[in-house]
Amino acid sequence: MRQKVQLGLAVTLISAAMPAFAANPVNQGNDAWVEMQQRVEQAMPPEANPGAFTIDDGKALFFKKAGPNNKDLSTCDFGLGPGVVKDAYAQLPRYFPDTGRVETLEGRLLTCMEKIQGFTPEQVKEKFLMPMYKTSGEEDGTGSDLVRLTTYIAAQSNGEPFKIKLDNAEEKKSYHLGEYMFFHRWGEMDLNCATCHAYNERTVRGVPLPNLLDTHTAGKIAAAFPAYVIKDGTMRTQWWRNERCVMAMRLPWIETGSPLDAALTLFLRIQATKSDVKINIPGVKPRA
Amino acid sequence: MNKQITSIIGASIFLMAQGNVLAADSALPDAPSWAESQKHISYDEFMKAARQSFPYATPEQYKLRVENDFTLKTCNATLDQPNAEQSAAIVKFEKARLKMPADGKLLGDWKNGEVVARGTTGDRIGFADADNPNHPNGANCFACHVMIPGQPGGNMGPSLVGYGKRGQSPAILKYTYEHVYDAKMLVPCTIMPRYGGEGHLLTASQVADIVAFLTDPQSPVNQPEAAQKQ
Ligand code: HEC
Ligand code: HEC
Repeated sequence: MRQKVQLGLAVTLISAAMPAFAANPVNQGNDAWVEMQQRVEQAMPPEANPGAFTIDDGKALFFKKAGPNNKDLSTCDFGLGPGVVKDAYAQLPRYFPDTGRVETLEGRLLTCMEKIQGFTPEQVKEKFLMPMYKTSGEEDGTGSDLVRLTTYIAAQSNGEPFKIKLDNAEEKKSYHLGEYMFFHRWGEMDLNCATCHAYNERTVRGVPLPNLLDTHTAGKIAAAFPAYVIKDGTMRTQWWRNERCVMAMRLPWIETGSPLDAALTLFLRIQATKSDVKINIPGVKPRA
Repeated sequence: MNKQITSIIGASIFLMAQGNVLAADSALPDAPSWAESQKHISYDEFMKAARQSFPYATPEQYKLRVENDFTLKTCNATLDQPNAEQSAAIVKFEKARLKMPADGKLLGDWKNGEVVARGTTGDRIGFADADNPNHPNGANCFACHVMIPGQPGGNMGPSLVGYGKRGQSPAILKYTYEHVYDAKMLVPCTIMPRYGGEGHLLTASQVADIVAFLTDPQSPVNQPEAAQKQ
């Protein structure tokens, strides 16, 4: 503890001399948020987490034949080869040469619905995207097939830490796009993500804020999504979590799988990759 | 004292250097930085990605919410550290935006001011939890400020408890109105949102109500904790 305080002091002093570090405290102990999250996890231990059922629902959907081609999704390539789901989430988002895009897990599922099951982009939107969008409001426990599928695939990385390599130009570009979005001030409230998520001691209405640049905190958060949100009574993905804050900043609705969605997710998961926190789905969150 | 600090700084620089070596090994980027992000991505490139990522926004919403105006462009480009000349330019730009209430009264109704200050919604758009545009917007001042003794508030801004001790002279009312309508006119690049004017949350008369909420001796902002209802 004492050491932490001293280091904090030193970093503060260094910050004064080196402005580049001013907004970037890393790993100084985001204690109040970590403790709050621990209390939530104690109140709903894994065996009591209803999100476990969503994993089974997602599995059933994954192996169900559908679409014009009457095929299931079991040959979808999540980056490790067709049909390999084990460990895939721990390495997403990643660049896919077949689409020329950096894709999140949700984005990749949508791609496979088109490429394998033969749905048109319009059908994918109507059958999968819109239902997820329309059920993402507070206290709407309906859930959606895209979230169920995402939860099933993500859970196949349980026990593994995030290990994104960022070893090609497209992913590096996307990472920096996410970094840019994290710091860029915009929207009706002149805010950036950093205002609320780049410091250890900040609170909103007395509630401690997670410092997403603290790699342990970033790891805890990335490893928990898709998470069961108690207030909503349903599972929510990382896209949803980011969308809630984008909406609070009064920015427009962010498209799942879009360049900024993928970039932001990649940016946050690189911070998680720097931690040793292991994926543990379904996580649990009290509310948005 | 100085010696101790020097050695802590030395140790920290050593630790940071080590961190960089580790980062280089795993080929992961260094700690995120606002300055670094701008070396890789330009504003125009970012806006191009934004247009692909916000497909449901109207041209009006792009103009007012997605694009940076002069002030935010300057704040982003200078990482919130505008120099004297840039600050003066922001102040000039914001002064031109400032509008007074139609009836000229800076002091509104403190009870409505409390409702507006507490409100957390307004102007949210999209598929879920979008706000009714006919419903008055809230400002969520409590997110960043402690406003009422004993009630939860945020710590990103200074506590405003007892603000009314400054009185209700014309100068105080003007300062308070300007700070809520357009904080960046007084503190260029402050994290406090600009609340007044096109593309922001509040009307001039709502701002005047908040001025009353802050300065009226009867307002809970200026009452001791024991006098609060709950
Ligand atoms: C005005 C402050 C504010 C801003 C700006 C903001 N957030 Fe948040 N964020 C919050 C709050 C409040 C929470 C929820 C904390 C809680 O209840 O535990 C949160 C939670 C989160 C979480 C999940 C934490 C968890 O417990 O799992 C993520 C991820 C996140 N925000 C990302 C972002 C991103 C990305 C941006 C920028 C696009 C952003 N936030 C902008 C206030 C903010
Ligand atoms: C995102 C955080 C944030 C929000 C939301 C916010 N403020 Fe602020 N406010 C600040 C910060 C930071 C300062 C100090 C820097 C400055 O003066 O701008 C401040 C300063 C002030 C001051 C000047 C304080 C003084 O002692 O003279 C007033 C008055 C004020 N805020 C009122 C409000 C009101 C009223 C609201 C809601 C309409 C509000 N603020 C919303 C962050 C915020």
